[in-house]
Amino acid sequence: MGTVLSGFSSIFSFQVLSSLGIGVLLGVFVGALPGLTACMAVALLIPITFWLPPSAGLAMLIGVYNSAIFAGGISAILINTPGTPASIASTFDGYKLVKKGFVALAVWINTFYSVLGGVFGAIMLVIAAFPIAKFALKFGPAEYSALALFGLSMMISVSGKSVVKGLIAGFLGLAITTIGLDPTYAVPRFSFGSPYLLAKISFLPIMIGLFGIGEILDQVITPLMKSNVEEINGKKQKGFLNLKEIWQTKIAVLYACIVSVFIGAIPGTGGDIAGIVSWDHCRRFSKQGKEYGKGSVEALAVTCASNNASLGGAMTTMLSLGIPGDAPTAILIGALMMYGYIPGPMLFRDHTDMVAVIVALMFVAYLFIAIVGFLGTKVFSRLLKFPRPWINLAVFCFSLVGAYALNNSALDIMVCLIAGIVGFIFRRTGFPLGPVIIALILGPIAEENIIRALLLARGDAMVFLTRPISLILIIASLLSLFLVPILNKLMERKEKQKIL
Amino acid sequence: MINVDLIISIVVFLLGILLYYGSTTLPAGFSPGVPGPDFFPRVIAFCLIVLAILLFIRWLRKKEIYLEKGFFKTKAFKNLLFIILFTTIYVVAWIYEAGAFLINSFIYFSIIIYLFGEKRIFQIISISAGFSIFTFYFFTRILHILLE
Repeated sequence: MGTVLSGFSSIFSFQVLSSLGIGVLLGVFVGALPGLTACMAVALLIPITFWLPPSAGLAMLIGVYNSAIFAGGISAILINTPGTPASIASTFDGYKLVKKGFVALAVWINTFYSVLGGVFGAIMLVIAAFPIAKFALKFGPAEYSALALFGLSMMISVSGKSVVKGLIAGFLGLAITTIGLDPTYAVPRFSFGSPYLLAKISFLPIMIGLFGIGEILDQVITPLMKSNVEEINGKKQKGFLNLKEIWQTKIAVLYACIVSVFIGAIPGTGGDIAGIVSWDHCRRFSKQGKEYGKGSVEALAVTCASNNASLGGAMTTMLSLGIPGDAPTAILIGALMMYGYIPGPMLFRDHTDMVAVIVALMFVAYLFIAIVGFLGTKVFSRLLKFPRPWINLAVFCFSLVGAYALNNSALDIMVCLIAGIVGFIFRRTGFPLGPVIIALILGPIAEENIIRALLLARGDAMVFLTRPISLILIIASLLSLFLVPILNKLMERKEKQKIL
Repeated sequence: MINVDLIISIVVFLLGILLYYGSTTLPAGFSPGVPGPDFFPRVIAFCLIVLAILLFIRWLRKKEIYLEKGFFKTKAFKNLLFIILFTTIYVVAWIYEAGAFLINSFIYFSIIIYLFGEKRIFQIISISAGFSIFTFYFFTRILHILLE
């Protein structure tokens, strides 16, 4: 604890705090724009931070990383387009809450619970770095496969009314992931000789197209009814939760944060998986589960907290093992090495002061995010007051920019447009988008790791059942697929009988 | 009334068949008991075919209406088609580096914002110019990408 406090004292200099502030503001800008990711922002800042002292440079990078994840929720909530992949789950309820007219409340929830989740993640980094890292190290191909299958089983949960349509959407997403080089054998599949398809279709342009372009095209047909903002923003809508309402979300949010820290610690997973898994779990077990997906306050709180809590897990793995938890932490490892620090167990032994600085920066970054977020609540919520054509053009413009900026490929823009048309058709015909995104994220992980696990086990499929973590995840998948819905129906029948 | 579910079930069924056919051109597994590159496409194809049949059965039981007759003749749908058309032209011009990026973007954004419903000339020109300059600046100065 004394070491952490010494970290705080080290960062309270004008240069470090101003670097942190600049990073936070840049992160808000990048995170809120669909298509511009935290990874991109961190990478773009590396050349600038090279000239800064280590504390100041890391302050800027950590500031942009943390605030980009927070800000991704703003566009997810306001325009149903995740600013970063980590905010995908926030679209399930955030946008619906805004459509009901609770704009300021939704933005406030994003800020409050993002800070709460982020601080929780930072606390877990302090107290449980090595145990979490040890847990993450136990994940081999069989465990990754089981985790991916567990996540894929959630396609049913996010399907809404029609499970058949949800599964069709999901399997179409899985079909897209088979295009390109096979991950294990490097055999070209369905590329038709195109170098672009051979390199696999990027997930990000599809996400931007489905959510951003697709939403705007849908609004061309059915303009969004202007919410009665004046009436709701008057005395009736308070635009925040009181202590009692916050307290009511404690169990769901705490559970989401704990699960997300562990998921974030697993290399290759991030806030996107953490958010979806947390949302699904809480939907099944919460008393308010029926409201999830319809603009539930608790559901939005869960997703906002979870995708920020996962950062703590990712940083834990990065610092204690030197293994990146996600793409931005991979770049942060590069930044640390640039300053002469090698992440891993030796970092804790030989450079405890630097670890303390990083931990302190995470806490102070969330303080800055809280200031920007709460001060900006009115600004963010008033963005929707602009004329609809201007907002639509802005989303179109940023979507195209974001799709291009990823790989500097104009073909990604074409993919984005096609995905937008598909997204529009899905919206018009009752097909959910959630399963597509889940499939795009988890499909490659499932395929690659199932085959790898079988190769390592020389074809013995029992490997998935003999490894404890894999077995637990498979059982959890089966339980959530079959047992929980049956139990829920039994509970409903009992309640109906009581009423009669 | 347009039978959307019927059309989609047929399309998905055909996609499943195509995917399955495509997977037959891929090599099977190289080690005993280990799936090859053809395995996952086949599983997905099989699932798509089954799901298409289930959707068809669902359509037989309850014929839900998603698109009313005359939908394709509405002004909104025509606007939608124009948006897609002009966006395609813009992207193709970008790919083939036809014209100047700034001018292309200004023309494109002007048309798009008009189709979105903005009719005031001054606002169309100023906002389109603003977005064009922002896009150009972002690509050339921030991402260091050369544009015409």
